[in-house]
Amino acid sequence: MKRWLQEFSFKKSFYERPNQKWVCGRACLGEGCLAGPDAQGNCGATAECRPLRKGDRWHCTRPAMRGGPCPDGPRPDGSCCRPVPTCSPVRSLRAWRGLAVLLVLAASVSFVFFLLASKRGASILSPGELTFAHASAGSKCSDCHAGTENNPASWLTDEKHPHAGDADNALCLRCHNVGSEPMLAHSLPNQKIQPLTRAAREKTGSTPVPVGLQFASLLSGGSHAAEGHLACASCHKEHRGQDSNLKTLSNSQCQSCHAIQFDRLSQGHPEFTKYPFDRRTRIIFDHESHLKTHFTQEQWKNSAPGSCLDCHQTDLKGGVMELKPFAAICASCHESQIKGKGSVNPGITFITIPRLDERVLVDEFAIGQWPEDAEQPLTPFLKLLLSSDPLLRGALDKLGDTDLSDLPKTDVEKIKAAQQVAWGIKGLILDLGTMGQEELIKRIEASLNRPLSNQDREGAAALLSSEVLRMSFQSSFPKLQEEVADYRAKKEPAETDLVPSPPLASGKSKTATPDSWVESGGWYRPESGFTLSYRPHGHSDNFLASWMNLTVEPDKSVSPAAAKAVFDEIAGPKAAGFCAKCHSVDNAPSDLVNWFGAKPNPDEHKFNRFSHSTHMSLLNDTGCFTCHSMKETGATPSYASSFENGQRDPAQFHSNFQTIKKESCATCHRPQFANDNCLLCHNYHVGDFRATVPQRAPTSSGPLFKAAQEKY
Amino acid sequence: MTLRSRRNLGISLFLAFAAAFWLINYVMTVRLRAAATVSGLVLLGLVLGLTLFNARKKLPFLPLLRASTWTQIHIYAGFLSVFLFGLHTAWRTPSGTFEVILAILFLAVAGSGFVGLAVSRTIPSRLTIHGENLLFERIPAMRVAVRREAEELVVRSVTANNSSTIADFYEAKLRSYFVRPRFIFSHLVGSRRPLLKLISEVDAMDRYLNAEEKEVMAQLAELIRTKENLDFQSCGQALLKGWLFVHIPLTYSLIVFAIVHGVFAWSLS
Repeated sequence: MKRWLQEFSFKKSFYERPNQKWVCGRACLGEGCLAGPDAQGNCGATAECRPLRKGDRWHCTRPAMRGGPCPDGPRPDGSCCRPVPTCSPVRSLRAWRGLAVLLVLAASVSFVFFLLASKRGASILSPGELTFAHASAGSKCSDCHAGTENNPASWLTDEKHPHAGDADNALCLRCHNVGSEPMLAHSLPNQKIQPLTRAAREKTGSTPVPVGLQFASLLSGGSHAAEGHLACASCHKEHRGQDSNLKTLSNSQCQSCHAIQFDRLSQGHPEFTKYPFDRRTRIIFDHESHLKTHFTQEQWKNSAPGSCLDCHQTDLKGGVMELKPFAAICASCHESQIKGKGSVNPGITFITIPRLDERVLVDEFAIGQWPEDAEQPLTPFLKLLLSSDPLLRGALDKLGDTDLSDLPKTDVEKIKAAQQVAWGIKGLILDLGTMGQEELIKRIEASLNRPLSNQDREGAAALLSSEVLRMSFQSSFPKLQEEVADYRAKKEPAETDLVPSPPLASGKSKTATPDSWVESGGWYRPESGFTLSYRPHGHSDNFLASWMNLTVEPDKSVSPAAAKAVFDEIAGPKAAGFCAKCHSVDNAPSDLVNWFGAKPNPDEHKFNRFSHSTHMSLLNDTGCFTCHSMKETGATPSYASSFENGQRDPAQFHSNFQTIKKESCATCHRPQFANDNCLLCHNYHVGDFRATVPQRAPTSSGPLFKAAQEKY
Repeated sequence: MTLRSRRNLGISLFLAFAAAFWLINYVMTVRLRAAATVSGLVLLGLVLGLTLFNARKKLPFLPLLRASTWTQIHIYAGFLSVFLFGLHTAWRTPSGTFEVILAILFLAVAGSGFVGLAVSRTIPSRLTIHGENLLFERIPAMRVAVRREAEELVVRSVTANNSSTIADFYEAKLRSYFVRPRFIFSHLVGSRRPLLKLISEVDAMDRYLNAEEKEVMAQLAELIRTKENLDFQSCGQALLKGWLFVHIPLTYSLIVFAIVHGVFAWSLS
């Protein structure tokens, strides 16, 4: 028969109360008293029963579970004859649990108080290690979180409440320069972003939007861009360890604000329209004509490059391809042409004495001594120098295109103007001879209506010496000083007197011609006489560069026509030096001559970025043509049409090369291969700003170099 | 409602809420908004809501749904809180001191909850099947009574048979068994090997005993089994009550730390 240990009869079984805090100390022995401890844990044991008086007798009331009434019964005084010894009550299980709760809670609250009050609390509260760039021996919370200088308790009570996003952003920007509008989308002002958005919206419709982004649009409505303010911490998550990347962002996060949304590069990314070309080349170089015509000719074969890298090299960052120096890539073919070797007229006529109509320039219109055999018209340089005088400027305007050697006899105004010009020329020559280069610079500045930099002064004067000047004109004006002085004193002008030309030097010995004598460049008087000319010394001649820079924007001068004429003279297709053959002229952002090929501005951050050096190892047998395929031979419009007729808009161009197709990139940039994260090829912070840590030495196109150029 | 339908409903609701929270978190993350702040607030609210279960049990007189319903809500909300915790931490391991403590607390509370759920679903049936169900509070007294009865048996047999065989055996093998709870690990894993081994030792004594002693031994064997059931019941019920010693105190600590974390995270966000 099965034996049961437990009994539940009310006569045999005690009612357990596990919710009570204290339990009889002898309950574990099976001898627990019926009274039990009180709520404070004091033993309530007295005796086995509480005798009950009925009539004149006391009766034992011991319960049946304790054996029922005892045989001895209560004492005559009514007390029980069987006292129960007291016990040491023990806590119940529930009481122990409650105690555990109190202890753990007390420990937690104590820890929190320590955290709030202690200065170490900040380091304990820190949610994780900082990235390597931000972690330093002295880094503290207040470096990035406003109002956290003291212990954590003050963070919540301080008036400078740390919950002010703009204050935190300002702390980031204290060290990080990310553009003019760092809080706006792409660090660009709205007036620059909105046109891009409008243009993008016109293209939408054909690409399926990823489901996740559809949900995002559906559920959250407007994007951050619409609100116009994006805090730094929205994208840059710190406290994720030393090796974490602060610039990690998913493609969906990038696209959540964009009008065009797509799955990945190979699925839905807009096609590249004119990448990588957004303007014409600065150096005019027709790849098609060079590769297919010039480099195949016998005389140039040895100088021809073997590969693209013979002419192109990566910049210091390995991103953009730059041109190697002229001396390395172009000089072997073009140097002699630039120097004018074999040219009939290798120099530039700077000042010449024009032929004048001496028949009408008499009496009150006399011009004094004048070389008999002068034949040249006014040179553009001369006109520009004369324009520095308002009176002469007016005279030149009156004369216009009139042939000075055949003045209209009845047009007194023109005759008068011609006389003024003649005396102006003589005055110019005298002033240059007596006051030197400073007079030249003064006249140039007056004509161009702006001061010249040191470099421009040096270039414009090009070491012009008084001896050359004297040699060029002394024989033509023997009484120059007296005549000019009288004219300037408003005395009656000296009578027109044609001076015979000095005999040309002749001899049996063979001597170098004046222009060949200065084959390495410099000022000279040509054999024809009455002229001061300049021969460029070769590539990057300072004289030509300075004068082209000075006159590229003629409208700013007091005589735009004269300035333009100078520019056209030295930038013409057959001009000495052939500068404009290779160096294009832009009108955007302002008129300037492109002396160098594209050089990346280290401070410029564009929407796209590309590193050539990392892709070099991926080239196949076609080399650079892997991505940069050339257009078909004879494709129209041609490359040269980009520069025809002096066209200056760099955005109007036709490249030798096809634009790069998206497929070229998407072949490798897929999730399983080279990754297609947006930030791999695109920048978020766009604009022209100096990075926090200098990444390379200043380049020749960088602002530091330009400033140095201006100064020295 | 059947068990299956109740479970299906619970799982369905859990999946629905989990999907909704995941979607909201995804949308906010994609939109570069404070997803962690929102998930943290929801998680804190959920944890505080879970603690209301304890309050509900203390207020049985209020018409606030049945305790069994609350239990189901508590369980599935607990699972949901673990999922939300993963969302909130972006499934990363926390690294700051405070956050590590907070994560450990949360995981300890959740873990103890899972243990409690498993225990409460397995042990009661085992207790019922194993033998007589005993009140936990009475087990120590019963253990003492069984020990006394065994000792009385042994003493009587010595007197009656003038032989100390049983007494020697009791001293060697059974005294330590009857004095305190034994073979706790075996009870936890449901193994009866120690009992069988002991019984086999008792059976092995048969060849040395006469008929009366064999009868005494048989009664001792019965007491051994009774004691074994006592220990099993004690072990099982201790586990049923003991897991709460981890779950409940750590919950309060978790709430304190979570509130502090929330306040500072909000103020520095």
